[in-house]
Amino acid sequence: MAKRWEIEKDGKIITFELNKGIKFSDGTELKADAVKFTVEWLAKNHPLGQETFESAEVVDDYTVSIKYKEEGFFNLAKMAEFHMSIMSPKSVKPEGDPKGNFVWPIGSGCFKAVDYKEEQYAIYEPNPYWFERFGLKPKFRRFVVKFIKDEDTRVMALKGGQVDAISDFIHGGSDYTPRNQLSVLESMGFKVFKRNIPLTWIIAFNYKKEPFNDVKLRKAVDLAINRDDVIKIFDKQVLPAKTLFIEDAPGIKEAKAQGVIYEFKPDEAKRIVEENGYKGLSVDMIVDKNQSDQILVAQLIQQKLRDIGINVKLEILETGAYRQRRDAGEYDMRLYYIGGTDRRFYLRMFWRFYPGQKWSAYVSDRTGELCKKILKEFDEKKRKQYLVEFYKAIHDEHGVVPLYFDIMTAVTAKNVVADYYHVFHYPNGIPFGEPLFYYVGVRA
Amino acid sequence: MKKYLIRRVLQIFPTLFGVSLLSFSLLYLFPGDPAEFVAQIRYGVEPSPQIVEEVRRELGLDEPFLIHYFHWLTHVLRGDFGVSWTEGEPVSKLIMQRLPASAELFFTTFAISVAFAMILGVISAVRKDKAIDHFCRIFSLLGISIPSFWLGLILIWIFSVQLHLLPAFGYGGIEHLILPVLTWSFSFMAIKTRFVRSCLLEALSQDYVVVAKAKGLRERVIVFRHALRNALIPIITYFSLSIHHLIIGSIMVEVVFSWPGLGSLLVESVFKRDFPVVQALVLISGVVFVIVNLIVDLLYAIIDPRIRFGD
Amino acid sequence: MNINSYSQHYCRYYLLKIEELKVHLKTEFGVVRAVDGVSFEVERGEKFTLIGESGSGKSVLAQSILRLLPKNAHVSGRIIFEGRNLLELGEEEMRRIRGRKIAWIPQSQSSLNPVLTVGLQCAEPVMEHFKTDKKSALLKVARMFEFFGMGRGRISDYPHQFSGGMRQRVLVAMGISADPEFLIADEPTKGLDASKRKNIAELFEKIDKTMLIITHDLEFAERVSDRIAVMYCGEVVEISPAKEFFREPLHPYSKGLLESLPSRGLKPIRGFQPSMINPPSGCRFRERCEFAKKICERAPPESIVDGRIVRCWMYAYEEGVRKVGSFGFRKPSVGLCQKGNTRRNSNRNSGKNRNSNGIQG
Repeated sequence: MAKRWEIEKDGKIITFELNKGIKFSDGTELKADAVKFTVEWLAKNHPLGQETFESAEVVDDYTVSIKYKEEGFFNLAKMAEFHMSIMSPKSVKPEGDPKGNFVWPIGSGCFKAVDYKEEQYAIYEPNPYWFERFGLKPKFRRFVVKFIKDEDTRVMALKGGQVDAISDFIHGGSDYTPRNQLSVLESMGFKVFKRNIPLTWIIAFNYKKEPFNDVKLRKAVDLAINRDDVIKIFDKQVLPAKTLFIEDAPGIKEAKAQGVIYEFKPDEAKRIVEENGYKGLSVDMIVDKNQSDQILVAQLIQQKLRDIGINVKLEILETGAYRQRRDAGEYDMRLYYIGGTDRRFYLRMFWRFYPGQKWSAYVSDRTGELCKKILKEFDEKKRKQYLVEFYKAIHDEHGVVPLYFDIMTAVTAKNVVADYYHVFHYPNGIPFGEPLFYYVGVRA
Repeated sequence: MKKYLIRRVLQIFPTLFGVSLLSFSLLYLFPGDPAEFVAQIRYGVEPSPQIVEEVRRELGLDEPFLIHYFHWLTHVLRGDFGVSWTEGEPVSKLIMQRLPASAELFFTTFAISVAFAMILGVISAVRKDKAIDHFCRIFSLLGISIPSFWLGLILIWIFSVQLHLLPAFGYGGIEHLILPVLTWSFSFMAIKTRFVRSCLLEALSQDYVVVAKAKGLRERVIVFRHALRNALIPIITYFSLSIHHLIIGSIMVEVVFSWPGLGSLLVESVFKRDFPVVQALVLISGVVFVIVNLIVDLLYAIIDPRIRFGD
Repeated sequence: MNINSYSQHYCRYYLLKIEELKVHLKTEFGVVRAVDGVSFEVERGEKFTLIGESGSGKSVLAQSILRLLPKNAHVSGRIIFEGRNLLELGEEEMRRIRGRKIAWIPQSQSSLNPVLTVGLQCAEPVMEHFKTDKKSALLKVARMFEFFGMGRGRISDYPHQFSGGMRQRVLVAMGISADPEFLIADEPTKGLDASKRKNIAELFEKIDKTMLIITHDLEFAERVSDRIAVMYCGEVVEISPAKEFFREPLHPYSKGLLESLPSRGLKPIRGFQPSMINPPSGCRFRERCEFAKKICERAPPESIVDGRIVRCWMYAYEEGVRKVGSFGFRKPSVGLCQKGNTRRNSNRNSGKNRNSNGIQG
């Protein structure tokens, strides 16, 4: 959307120059005033906007200058968040009022909303202006999204031909197509689109409290987990996490080259436990009942730790109770996730590793400082360097134990025209985490 | 009779008060911080502690319990259940949107399962310990022990995936109604069939049935005029009381079939900790139950002459 | 006097004849021998009363005649009614007899259906057996109600609106509504006070029907019966004309029953009725009998004393007709007819006039 941007005052002010000819789905042109409106509206109505934006100034029709609350690269990373999508001032009432009520979504993306009912359905038509901009011809006339809560029903709706495709909806939860169904569906002739995303499931420790304030014990746990066994729970559809994130994530290859690898060495783990007098130790692990696959993962961990002489007491709790225990610090271990879809990579890094966050996974002086540096640094090379150091620090301190990399999937029926490239790439070639459906159609 | 009526009507007020207190207390009884849930759902991000505090203040969760309850109750008495925390719409509007789907599902299921429960219950009581009775027993046992969601999935697999006859999910024409109704009716009537059977057997073991037989009456007359008429008193009570399933009984079925009714609204709202909606649904459920109870007691008087002419 | 000539002359008058009837009820504790080899005849026109303590099997016997017993009851022997063995009839044939030929007046209280009007309940046999419509059946019932002193209007009332005595009258009306030939009344005075019992007795005297009355109310029995049979522990121990029975009972148990009446000294029979699952061998009464001897360990034969039937060793010796141990051999018709003769002489002189409808005009 932006042709280029200029960074002033270490990123406290960023001035964007917009591409010309971008149109909203109602045909009006997206200009600087729409960006200013969106920034101001978000600053009033959304916590992410509130903590990010200070103000916005229209320089000319196609140039807008945004003033941020903090300095740093993080501002730019946050702009990729879907909440930050530029919307038409006509989306609210009174029109263009930053305090106005949101009435109808008018954006500049590939879909134009026709009708929707929350948690039931949404009906879209192709946004002709978007397709025109990218020189594409839409292959569908209407695109209907239906909300089917139960994952088994979802799969059967696909099998029964009531829907043409089903897609994951990952928000750190587990609203996804059951992983053990993917190969079955594939063998039945359905097309499975799968992409690894920089979202890693980990063991998080209550590292400020005994016994996991001891790095040696954390290391023992780390070495005791066989990640190749973990992925069997998911029918090997996911990858074992032998690094902190997938290889495509920034800095991972470099860190791996420096030996930042998570390994399975049960004998060493056992030795550490015995040498430090942890044999027979009993620890609490809390699991959120709503993430049913994680219960299986937790049971595997329980078994692996029993092998090295540590007893894990599993507590499978309802979401609210789980959070209560987590917030009160009444646990020793729990399952958690870091990272996210590509766009959310830095935002989640902020939530999980930045000092002082409620939902943090692990913060030490060393990792906290590095996290701050990463989110400040505009220079891509330097940022990567910090990231490598950060991965190393987490590894050295055994702050978290990565288990497996999550995936994002979409499954389509035989009569659906879709290809991998368009499902996981924006038309301008940028890879995208969540499946995209702008270039799909159904054969008559 | 009049005295009985008045006493019975007066009795419901303390009950209703208790129901309201209980449904309101849910907010405080549920584990976890509702403000955190709501902030997360509203904004789709992991909210900072400041945002959570802001949401807490906005929702009035920082008020003491009794003041909060009092506010809520005075609004509820005026028919105002408040505004949904996550959708920003009046709760009553959300409920009214979902009610038709729930009512359609419930009343169809109710009609079908009551009809079948009566037929099967009567047959198995009259043919006690015969093959048909054993068949009904097994049928009921299955209905009681098979979880609805499992049965629902099996039916979807058969009728949608294999036969392509019926839609697997959603709300719409009559074809959408068939599988959810079938699923729910199966468990709904199972226990009722057993109940009809045992009530009828109880009635059939009464002296007046032997007397009816001694009069040379036909079995049909004995069963329907003498036994069933008496058995109907507990049966009608039991059936009527099942009306509270309108809201809470359909949860499994609604979730499996993505049926946009009150059951799935309740589940969604509990997940989202959207307490105004949860409280309203629980309260309505309770009130419906209390009122149906009252109506049933009045129905008694119509069926049972001992109450009608008593006092 | 030639006994055989009597039998040929009178015995065709019997309406119901029971031969060697056994009713064994299977329960979880064992087989209850509720009726264990009973034979008697009920003559046309007489009121034959079975008396005995509760649990002696008399109600079971009554129900077995109409085949109303539950499936766990095993019934053997013969029940001859109008020349046919009721135990061999098909269910549909049996149904046509119930209420129409043989009616049952049940024990009161719970025998009426609480949710139906008494009028309908009384009209049911009429509607069923004469295929009349409800309206005319109810009209007939209304007339009967009036006759029984209950008022026509009460036909549309429900059972709970009646007192115990009134309910008993309803049951009687229900029994005779289809004009049956034979009535079985099961404990008609149960649970009623003295004055109500008197009313019921008067009512029964008005009804000119062949009746089998089951009761443990001896005063009632004395008032209405022509003949008395005494049941003890599943067996009939004595059959006598009512007058003679109350003047001089034969069997020690009969004596005991009468002596336990308030008017005759209120002296209860010692001991308890034995278990019907494992009844004692020999005379079943011997453990409670003050005259018991060694021989009573063997089953006593049936003896005929002045045309009365009694089952006790005392009479077996006295009469000397039967040999010891000849139990099982009997010639009941002889005794019955003899006694029947007695009854006719002694009882009919009350001069009561009975109309054909079974109701005294």
